[in-house]
Amino acid sequence: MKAVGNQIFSRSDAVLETSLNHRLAKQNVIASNITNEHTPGYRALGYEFETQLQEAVGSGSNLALHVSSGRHIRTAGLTADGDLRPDLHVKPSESVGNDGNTVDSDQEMADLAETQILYKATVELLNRKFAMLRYGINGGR
Amino acid sequence: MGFLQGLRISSSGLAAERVRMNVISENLANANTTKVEGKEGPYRRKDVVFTARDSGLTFDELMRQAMDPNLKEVKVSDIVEDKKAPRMVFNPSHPEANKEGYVAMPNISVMEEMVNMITSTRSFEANTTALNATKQMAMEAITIGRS
Repeated sequence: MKAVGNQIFSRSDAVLETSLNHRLAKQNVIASNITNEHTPGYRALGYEFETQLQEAVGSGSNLALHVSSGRHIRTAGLTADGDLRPDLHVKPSESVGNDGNTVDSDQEMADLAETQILYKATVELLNRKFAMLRYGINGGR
Repeated sequence: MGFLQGLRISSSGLAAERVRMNVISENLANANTTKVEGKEGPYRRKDVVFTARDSGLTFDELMRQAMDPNLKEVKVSDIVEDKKAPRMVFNPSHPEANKEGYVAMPNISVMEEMVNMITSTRSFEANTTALNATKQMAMEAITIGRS
């Protein structure tokens, strides 16, 4: 997430934008899992970015490290240029089928619905923000 | 990574399930076929082999995937014949019967095919749901900033 330094678009807008991008990426990961539900040997993938996002905006349990030079140590979950680094990993799973496939389709369908709803909510928040801006620009008309 | 990748992954799943469904139909249709043109013995059950394949067409997508665990499409890499022995049924009056009066019937269990058909249908539905979800998200995204 890039730092945003003007008055119109605040930090929270940047957070919304980042989370939109990452929810879409998560959606693609879930689609990949669902599609490979019957592929022998396929390992389900997971995509985590919420924790990193919380750390990045400083609302996580750890304090974010202040960085003033490119050579400083960065908060975990951020790349060198300040972008969020999501965690794309092979899901640890207790149950492996006969064919070595670890996709839990119920779980994936639930995640799919969740991601879709959260994406919609994020779009809604952005739209509210823009509506407010427009209201201000038009002088309350 | 964009909407198109998600749509592409889901549609590869739809295509693969459709192929599987065709193979199941073929098996069911030939559950009692004792002769195959140009081949010895009865019809043999066929099965599809699903293989996960790296998803990504653009350079950017492939580059990103070289570093991370990859998102996979599915494709039908092969259609193989089941090696199970044929079912021997006693029916001396059948033209294909051997000296002992047994006919070699296909190694197909109709129940098994029906179960596979149901799983295939469910997978198809799951892929459709995922496709629609991604499409819905894309439609949401284009409403950003619209009053």
